[in-house]
Order: sequence, then structure tokens, then C-alpha cells
Amino acid sequence: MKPQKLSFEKKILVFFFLTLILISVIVFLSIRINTETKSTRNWVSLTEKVLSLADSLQNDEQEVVIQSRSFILTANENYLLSYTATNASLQRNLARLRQFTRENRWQQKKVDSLQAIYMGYLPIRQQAINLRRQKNFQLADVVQLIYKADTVLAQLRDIFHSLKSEQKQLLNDRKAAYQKNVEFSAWVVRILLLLFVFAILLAFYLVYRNSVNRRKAELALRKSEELVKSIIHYAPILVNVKDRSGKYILANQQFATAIQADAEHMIGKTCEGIIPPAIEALVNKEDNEVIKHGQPVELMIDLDAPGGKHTFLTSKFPLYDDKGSLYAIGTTAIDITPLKTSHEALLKSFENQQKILDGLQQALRTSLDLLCIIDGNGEFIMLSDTVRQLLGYAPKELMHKKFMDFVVESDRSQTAVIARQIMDGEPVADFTNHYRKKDGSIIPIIWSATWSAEDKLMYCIARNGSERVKTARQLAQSETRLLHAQKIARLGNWDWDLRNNTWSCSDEIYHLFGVAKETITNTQQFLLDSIHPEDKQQLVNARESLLAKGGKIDIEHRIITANGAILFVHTKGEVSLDNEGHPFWFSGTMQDITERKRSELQMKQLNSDLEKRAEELKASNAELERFAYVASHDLQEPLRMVTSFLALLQKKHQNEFDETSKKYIHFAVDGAERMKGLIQDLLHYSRVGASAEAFGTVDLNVLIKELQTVFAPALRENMGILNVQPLPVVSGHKMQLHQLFQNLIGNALKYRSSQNPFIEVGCTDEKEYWRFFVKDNGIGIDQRYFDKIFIIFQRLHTRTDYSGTGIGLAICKKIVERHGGKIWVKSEPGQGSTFYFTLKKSHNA
Amino acid sequence: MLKEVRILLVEDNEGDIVLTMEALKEAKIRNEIDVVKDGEAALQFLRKAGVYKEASTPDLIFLDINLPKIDGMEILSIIKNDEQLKVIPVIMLTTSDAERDIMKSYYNHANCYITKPVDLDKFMSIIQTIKNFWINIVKLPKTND
Repeated sequence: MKPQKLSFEKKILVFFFLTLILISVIVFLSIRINTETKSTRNWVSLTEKVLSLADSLQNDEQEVVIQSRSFILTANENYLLSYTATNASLQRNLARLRQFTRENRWQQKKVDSLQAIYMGYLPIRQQAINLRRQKNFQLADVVQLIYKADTVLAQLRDIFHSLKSEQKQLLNDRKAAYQKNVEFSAWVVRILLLLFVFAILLAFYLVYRNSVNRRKAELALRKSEELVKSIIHYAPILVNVKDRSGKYILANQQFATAIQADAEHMIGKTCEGIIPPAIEALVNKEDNEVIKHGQPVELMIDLDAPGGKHTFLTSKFPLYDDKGSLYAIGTTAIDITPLKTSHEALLKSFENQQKILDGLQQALRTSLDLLCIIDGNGEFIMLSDTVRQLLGYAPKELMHKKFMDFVVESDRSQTAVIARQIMDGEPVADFTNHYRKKDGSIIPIIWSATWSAEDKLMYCIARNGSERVKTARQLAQSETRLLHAQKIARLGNWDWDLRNNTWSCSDEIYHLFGVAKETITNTQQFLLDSIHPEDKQQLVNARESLLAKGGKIDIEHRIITANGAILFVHTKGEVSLDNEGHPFWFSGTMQDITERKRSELQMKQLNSDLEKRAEELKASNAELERFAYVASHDLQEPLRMVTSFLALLQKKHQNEFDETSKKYIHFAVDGAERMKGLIQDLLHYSRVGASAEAFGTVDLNVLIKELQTVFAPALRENMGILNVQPLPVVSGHKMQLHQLFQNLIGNALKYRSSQNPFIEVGCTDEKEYWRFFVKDNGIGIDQRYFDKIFIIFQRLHTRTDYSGTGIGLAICKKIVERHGGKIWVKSEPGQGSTFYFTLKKSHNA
Repeated sequence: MLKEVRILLVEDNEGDIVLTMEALKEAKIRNEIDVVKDGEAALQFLRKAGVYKEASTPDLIFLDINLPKIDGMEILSIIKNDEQLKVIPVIMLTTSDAERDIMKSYYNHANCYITKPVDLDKFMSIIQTIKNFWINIVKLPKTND
């Protein structure tokens, strides 16, 4: 982080604190030196006292020795008096020494041992004295005691010495340490004092400099204020300053003039009633915007002034005080009316020029045209770079060469004629001649040129003509192809220029109508006349609508050709509108669709026939079913009568009949029974078609399982096997499918051969169908009867051989057909039979 | 005391009338059987109109479907919409076993529907069963003459 520059006040404050700390340090150090000195002095005096005490002790000890010895030698009691006094003084001094050295453990110890030795010596001395006082004393004993006492004293002396020397050493050390300490502190104090002086000097300098600077700044400020005032006063710009509440703090004369107010009276008032009401809201809004965001804004203010509207480019900006809070909004405005007007005009003319210039540049860049200038001698004097593509020469290569040299010889004479024409002041456009390129090949070139008589120069624009020549050739080719195609399609086209009322029809139109193009003078009338009378009105209406509001036509109608044949044609066309919405062009095609129409009609006829037949068939089928149902129903009734009364007859009058009568009655009963069977089968058969039950999903595996139960006894009886492969779930009529499988499996069992019956049921997937088969190893069927077996009541065997009415397979066929399938058989007599049938998978259709 | 049951047989086929009478005789029912041969007669009988002024209200009606003039289905509908007659049980006794006849009968509140079997013995046993059920087992509503 960049350290912030400290203000002058802060600097001084910091400085003051630093000085304070400095003084504190000096005072502290001085006190410390003083204390140190005092304590050292005390100590020195103490040590000196100890030393002198040690000296006096030593003296006392010598005194004691001398005085005791003197008594022993002399036995003069006076010596003993001094001895006692000296002894007491020695004791006192020893006590004082102990007091002085109480802070030194080592010396205390020494004092202890001093005292102990002395105490050990006293009794010996006293003993010697006492011995001397006896009259018959032995000198040898006294001497021995004295000697003993001296030995002890010698120890005492040693201790004195060591004590003294130690004390002296200590004194020296103390003195040295004191010296060092005091000297260091003194130095520090000196340095700090120096620093202090320096700091005071520095502070004085800073204060001085600051006051000088401030005076300079005040002077500059006053100057710049004057300057700003002058600028505000004289500058051709509108200035005002408002405080946050919108009251004017400052406004210059230009501003006052612009709003036609008095500058003096504005100060301290809001803009209400001062500035024109038309702009008041805008000004207030923008002021608030500045206060809200603290950002300057720029806006245009239009002011109605005498002599027209003036536009002011206005800036509003926030003014901040030194605490950084917004206290006022400044506004400056410049009348840009003249500037705007001239700027707009300038912009417009510049835009126009720019457009032209851009267009030209674009054209030149993208153009493949050759631009060249040829002088009066027919020489190139300027060529654009595009000549490279056109002729293969660089512009330089052709400069000052005669253009005619590059024109193919066969074209030269004509070119010369044209060149002359141009030079005579008749500009030429779209003149084509051939040039020889640098590589020798020939290229057609299209020219436009003009002659400037003033410059005596020919200005030319040239273009590669190959494309045009090629296009023309291709156009011719494609036209031929079109005509050919039209001929094949029997389709012609026309264009009708509505403005000039001119027609242009392709050859095929005339072919369709069977006329020669040349014989037609009024195309429109001819076409109208050729339309089939029944279709004419429709076409006339369509044409009127088209010519009124444009649009398209797409219509099929008939025409009558020149040889009287009627053709169906398909006419398609469109009328185009010009910019003002008026139709001006009608183009279209006409195609012969007679063949298609004819087959369509035939198809329609066939379809309606077919539908009719289907309806009839449906009706007749329904009729048939109804008939079968009613017939069988109504047949039941009389039959019931016959059988019932025959039975009643048998029951009640049995005994009255002879054998012949009984036989006749038997035949009658048998016939009635058969009749009953036939009727029931017929009823059954008719119901297959009449059932109202809807189709559902049928799981054939479940269905077959039920049938296996039904056939189980018969199979067991005949030692037969029914082998069923997995079958699908199909969509169908459950009862009918049940009947279908029951009939087929039943037949397979019924028409069994001498072998044990082996019946197989299976199914294959045939995309839209399921194909089922029921295969047996029975007696088989002759191919001749393959169709007959499916016809109702058709039997192949006598009732004696096989019972039944011959309806089973007919019902099967009907059921299969009802399910949208087919049923057929493959068989050979004695080889078994396989019945196939299909069921449609989906019955949606 | 054996109760006497009155049956109205509406049947146009002479043979069927004979057979039904035979069967009822065989079933040893103490009964009185009135027979009418067409729909109009049946309605007159039930409403005691015309020649049937003296007729008594039946306890049970045997009704055929195929009848001249007014068919059985219509008679059924009229009976079952009549406040007085609708309490009388109606047994449809007919040759038809067509699904739609059965449905239509029950839809019109027939009390039961029986297809006449072709076989005489079966017919006899059915009449026997009807007797058992409708005369011995079922409690019939009281009819006031």
C-alpha cells in the first residue's frame, strides 16, 4: 500500500510526540546515573569502613598479644588491665564487622570463623595467665601454652589478610563498574541532547516553510479565483451553480441574458419563476439525477429566445466539498445553434459525396470492365489494370501502341468506320469487335466510347463479350429444347403484354389448336373462339377478374380444335402487377390433358360401378343371412309339430300300430330328426354372419387348452395325439375362433384312418397375416373335392359312413372370411390332410 | 286344500295349444286354463272386454311371441306397463331362441323366458318344471277378481 502523505498538522503532532519521548528518555537516564552514583558511593564508604575496622582489629589483636606476653613476663597486673580493655574493644569491633558485612555471605562466614578462632584462643591465653599467677609455676608449661596460642593467632591473621585483600578487590571492581556505567550514560545523554536540539531546529524549519507555502498558495488561489471569475463573466458560456436545495449560489451574466433574468436577483432563489416553465421540469429532473448518482450528465436544452429557438449543449456536474460530500450542482451551457445548423448541412453534403464516392469505388473495384483512353493517333495513353484479364497484356505493354494493331484483321475496316464516327462526336455504345490476345486467341469485346473534343481524347469502356456470345448461343439452344419439350408434353405457353396488347405464343399453342401460326391475326379472339361453349363463360369470368386485380388462374377446360375435335386442356397463368398495382403482363401455359382426362373418367366410371356392385353384394349377403335366419326359425316351428306329435303318437298309441306302421313312423321320425339337424346347422351358419359380438383379443393358447379338454375323451378312446405348437394372441371373435378350431380338430378325428390319429396344430407369421394349419394323418381328400368341401351341405360320404350334415367346413370358411382370411386344404387320399387358414392381424381397416 | 291356479295361454298354434294342455294335464295341476289365440284377444281377456266380460284374472300367463294382430312382445310391454296387470307373472313360451328376443323380453320385464324344445319329452319335462317352480314353490300375488 502506498503510504499516505501526512498533512502538515499531523507531521507536527508526530514530531511533538517523538520529542516528548526523547525528553523522557533523557530524564530517565539522568535519574539512573544519579542513583547509580549514590549507591556506589555508599558502597565504597562501607568497604572503606570494613577495611579500617579490619585494621583496628589487627591492631587490637597485636595489642592483646603484647599485653598478655608482658604480664607473663613481668606478672605485673597493670598489663592485665590494658589486656582486658583491648580484649573488649576487639570484641566490639568484631561485632561491628559482622554488621557491616551482613550483605556478603562469604565475608560473614569469614567473620564467623574469625570469631570462632578468637574464642578458641581466649581460654588458652587465660590459662597461660592463670598459670603465671601461681607461685610455683613451670615456665615450660607457660611457654607451651603461649606457643599454642600463637599458632591459633597465626590462623587469625591469615583470615584478616584474606578479608582485607578480598575487600580491596571488591572495592576496585565496584569502582570500575561505576566508572563504566556513568560514562556510558553520560554519552547517551549527550547524544540525545544533540538529537533534541536537531529536532527543535527541524520543527522550526518545517513551521517556517509551511507558513511560506501557505502564503504562496493563498496568493495563487486568489489569482485563480480572479481568473475563474473573469472567465465566468466573459466566456460566451452559460454558468450557474445551485446548492442542494436548488437555490442559485452563482449565475453569470450570459445565463441571466439567455433566460432573460437579472443575475443579481437570482442568488438565493430556486429556478422556479426564473427559468422558462417549459424547461423547468427537465432542469429539476437532471439536477436530481446528478444529486442521486453523483455523476455529471449532458443534455440538450432547447430555449425559445427572441429570434428563434436556440439549442444549448448543457453539462451538469456535482461539486464536492473537502469532506467529499456533494454540496452543489454546477451547470454550464453553450449555445450550439449555429454550430448545429452548419454541422447538419455539412454532414448532409458530406454524406452525399461519400455515397457517390463509395458507389464509384465499389463499381471500380468490382467491375471487370476495361477503362482506357486513346489519343487522336489511336494510341493507348491510359489503360486500367483489367486489361490483363481481357487481353493478357500488362497496361505498360500496350502504352503508346495503336489499338488497331490488336483488332482482328477482318474487323479492322468496320472498327475504323466506328472510330471515325466517335471522333466526329457521336458516342458509340455496345459495339462489338474481336481482338487478338497475347496468347494468340481471339476474344470478342464490347465497346462504349466517347470523344472529348476539348482534350482530343477518346474515353472508352470495354467488356469481355465472350459471355454474351455464349449466352446468346445457350439461349438459342435452350429455346429449341423448350420447344421440343413443349411438343412432347403437348404444352404451350403464351405471354400477353397488356400495355401494348401484343401476344407471343409458343408453337405448341398453335399445334394444340391445329392451326398454322401465320393464319392467326387476332390471337385473343382466336383463343376465345376455340374454347368449348360450355366452359367459355367460366374462362371469361376468370379472365376479367385477373385483368382487374391480378392473380393466378389454374383451370381445366375444353377447347375445340380446327378439325372439330374436343380436347381437354389444363390452363395455368398469372397476371403480374406493376408498381402502381395495374396488371401489365399475363403469361401462362396450356397443356393437352385429354388422355389423362379420358382415363380419369374411365376410372371414375369403374369405381362407381365397383361401388355399386359392392353395395349390391353387401345387400344381397345381408338379405341372404336374414333369409337363412328367418327360414330356419320358421322351419323350426312346423318341424317341432311333426316330431312332437309323432312322439305323442308313439307314446299314446304304441299298441295300436302294426310293424309296418311302426316302420313308417320310424322313417317319419328319422326324417324329422335330420330336418332338425339341417335347420339347426343352417341357423348356426347364418349366425356366423349375424352375430353382434365385437372383435377382441383372443389368446389361442388358452382357447386350444379348452379344446384339448373337450377332445380328451375322444383322443383317449382312439389312442390319438393332439400336438399344438405355441400360438399367437390374435384379434377376433372368440366364440367363432373356438368353433373354427373345434370343427377342424373334430374333422381330423372324425375322418381318421386305420392309424392312430396324430393331429398337429401350428402357426407361422406372414407379416399382415397369421397362417395356421391343422394337419392330420386321416383318410385324406381327393383334389377334385378341395373346393366342394367348403360348400354348405356338401358331403363326400354317405351318412352311413360318417354322420353330419356337411356344414362344418362351410362354417369354418365363413368364420375365416369374417376374420379377413382364407381357408384351403392340401391333401391326398390316404395321406392325411392339412387344412390351412389365415387370420388378418389387424382389423382396423 | 290344493289351491287352484288360473293360467292364461296365449298361443296361436293349435298344435302347441294341444301339446301345452297335454303337458299341463300330465303334470297333474289342478288348474283352469284359458286359451286365447291372438294378441288382441289376449288384451280383451285381461281387460275383461267384449266377449270376455266374464273372464277371471289369471295367476300366470304363458305368452308366445309370434302372434297374429298384436305380437307377444307388444302384449308383454302393455301388461308390464299396466298398473293392475303388471303384477301377473308372464312366462315367455316361444320357439325362438334368438338373442335379441330374449334380451327384449327381459328388457320388458318378462318373468322368465323359455324356448320350446323340439323334443316332446323335453317339452313335457319343462312344463313339469314350470309347474313345480311357479305353482308349488313361488308365492304368487293375490289377484282380485
